[in-house]
Amino acid sequence: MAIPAALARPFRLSGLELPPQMVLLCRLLALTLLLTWHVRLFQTPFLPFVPFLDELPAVPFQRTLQATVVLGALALLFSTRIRLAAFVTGAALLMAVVSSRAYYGNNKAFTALLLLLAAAGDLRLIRWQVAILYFGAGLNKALDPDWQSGQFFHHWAGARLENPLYLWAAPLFPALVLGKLFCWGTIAVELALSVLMLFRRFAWPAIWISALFQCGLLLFTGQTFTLFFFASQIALLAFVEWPKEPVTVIWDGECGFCAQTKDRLNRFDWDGIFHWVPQQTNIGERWGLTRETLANAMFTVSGANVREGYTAFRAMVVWLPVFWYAALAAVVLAPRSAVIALLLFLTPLSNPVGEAVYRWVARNRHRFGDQTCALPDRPPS
Amino acid sequence: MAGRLPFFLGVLLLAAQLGAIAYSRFTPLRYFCWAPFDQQTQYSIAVSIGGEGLTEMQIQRRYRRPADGADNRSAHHLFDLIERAEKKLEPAGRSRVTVTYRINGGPEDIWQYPRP
Repeated sequence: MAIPAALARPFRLSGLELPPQMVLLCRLLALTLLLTWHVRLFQTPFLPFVPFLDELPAVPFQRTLQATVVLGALALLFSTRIRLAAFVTGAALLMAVVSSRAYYGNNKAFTALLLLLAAAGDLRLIRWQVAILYFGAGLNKALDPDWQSGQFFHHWAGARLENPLYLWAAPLFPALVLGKLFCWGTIAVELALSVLMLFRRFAWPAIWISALFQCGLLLFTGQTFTLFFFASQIALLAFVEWPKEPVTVIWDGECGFCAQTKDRLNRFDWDGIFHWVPQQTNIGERWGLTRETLANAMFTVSGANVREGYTAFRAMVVWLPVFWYAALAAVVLAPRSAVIALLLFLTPLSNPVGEAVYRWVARNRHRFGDQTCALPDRPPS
Repeated sequence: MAGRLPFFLGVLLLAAQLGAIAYSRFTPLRYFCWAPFDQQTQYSIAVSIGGEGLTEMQIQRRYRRPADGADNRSAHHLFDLIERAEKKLEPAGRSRVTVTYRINGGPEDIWQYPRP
């Protein structure tokens, strides 16, 4: 069943005013604001950073900002005027931050700035923003005596969070040593990220270190720190190289189950990012892939990257915006479980099981789905 | 928005943040300098106006903060907020505020308004 064009817009990333990864970044931030219903936290002006704001009618001001952010977020999802929508949403969120010292928070300011910088249309601004965030955070910690001594982490993890793992492990070390290790580890990671993020050639290490660091923090605390976990992870899209050309998918054109899988994936591929070519056309020869090799697994080719089987399938899923929308919704609903599942899926940890399942499905593909698979029967052993 | 202007404005936004990070080295306040969750403050606020004490509910309404609670940012944000609120709500100076607090589980300390 065809989806009306307007409803399909959130799934289209290309052909818009901004690069695809920046469109996805804006839409994921918009979805975060909507799914967490963040506007409920907006306040009437209270000791604002900009003095005149508490001269304005308080409740109409609050309601106007709430409506602007909700409409702006919807426009980011469903409109083609991405830059304008990002600017309006970011500006309204920043206005909410500067209008109340009680509402003020780094996570809200960071989210607002990401949207404003996205509206400027240059990925470098987002990268520099994330680098500055980590630089400020790392520097402040490095110069704080309680971070230097380990007292901060010892108190936070032990007394405030009552984290069972920390409470178990801390007595195994001399006083404050474990706290000191965590404090200086955090400082080192944040300052290293602030440097790595400035250089394109370190983009992938920066992405993985940042993602694992923030996911580790979420798993340790169980908290998303309001918007911070979402914004810090979504911002990493600015470091990702999006495929410039369609991704070639080499599949078994004589397999009914494969054709059904192709149709299912194509339903989510509104950008036409996948260029499906049956292996029977001998296209594999371009990359030195023999017929025998192609008979065992699907392959994807993106630039110089040739992926096979489970890793090819995973890469295809990751290029579809619908995957990230679903992942975001899962983290909103159940942060710890969703992050564990995502880490397992996105890292090589899932490779052994993923490859085994893929191989089994590939071997038995002629038994699944529509029985129009044209593969010859396996010879009796 | 056309040409290089949006990029230039974006760079200005980033430069302002670097300025805020540098400025934070000269003040105990940590606004807009990316210092989240760097300090854990447990506090208790007591307020009297003209000699009459406020209830916890009244304190919550006055500062939009619980009378007894914890804050994940610089303790000076709390003091700044109370001082600004009192200057605005009680310009005649009838209010007396005492904040008993501990930073990162350290020794108990007291902050007062007006400053002694």
